[in-house]
Amino acid sequence: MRERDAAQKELDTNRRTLAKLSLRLDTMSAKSVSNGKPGASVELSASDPTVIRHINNLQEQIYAERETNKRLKGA
Amino acid sequence: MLVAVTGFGSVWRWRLRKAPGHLQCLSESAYYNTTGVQVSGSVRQRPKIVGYARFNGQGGFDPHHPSRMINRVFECADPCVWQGQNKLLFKRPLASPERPDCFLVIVRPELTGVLKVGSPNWRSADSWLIAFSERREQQEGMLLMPAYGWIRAELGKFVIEPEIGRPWVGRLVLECGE
Repeated sequence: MRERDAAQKELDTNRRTLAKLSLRLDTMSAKSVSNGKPGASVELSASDPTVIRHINNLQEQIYAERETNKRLKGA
Repeated sequence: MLVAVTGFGSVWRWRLRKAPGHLQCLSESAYYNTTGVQVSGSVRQRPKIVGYARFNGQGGFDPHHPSRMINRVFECADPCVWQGQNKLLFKRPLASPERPDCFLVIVRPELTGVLKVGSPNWRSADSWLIAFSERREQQEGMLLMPAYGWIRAELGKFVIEPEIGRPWVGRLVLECGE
């Protein structure tokens, strides 16, 4: 029971982390554009490469968190 | 930036230029290459990290002989995020090869063992993971790596080493002493 509670707690923490990371990624990659079209994306090619690199790292972190969540759900 | 191709992902898509009254021809098509895995006998994308390499027919890419593009050096745009997907545009191949800034590398567990995507220090900081597909034990990753960039996988640390005398030919080799 204690193990299950601990796993549940960890799962909740991971869910929160994942939500935060997703939010950050969304903010960076899907900013609203000046023409106001819904769902339109921003071309980031002109941005600082460090931003793209940061997005790349966040994508991996999201993937890793999802995998951890999957494992915890299966436990 | 100059990018040398060491391999391609398993999934190809193409798109014709659509303009009213325009005579369509293959040279004006765009070709999209990304990662994929086998699902019930056919290749599916199963993307975990979505991205692609885009080649232009007009830029000299021959869709009938993609293997001829291996070890060719292309002029590329910087990697970017377009419509939520990582994108690397290959503009045109160079007429004669030069020392590239980066290599387009495809990694699979058959060579490296299981890829530990997202774990700390699984790849060198100067590399980019463009696309990644996974299903059960199958994985395929598309990376952009400079010479001597590395990944750390189940079987050890693999380094992209340019060939002496032909620096546009890169090979992923297992580093000794790991």
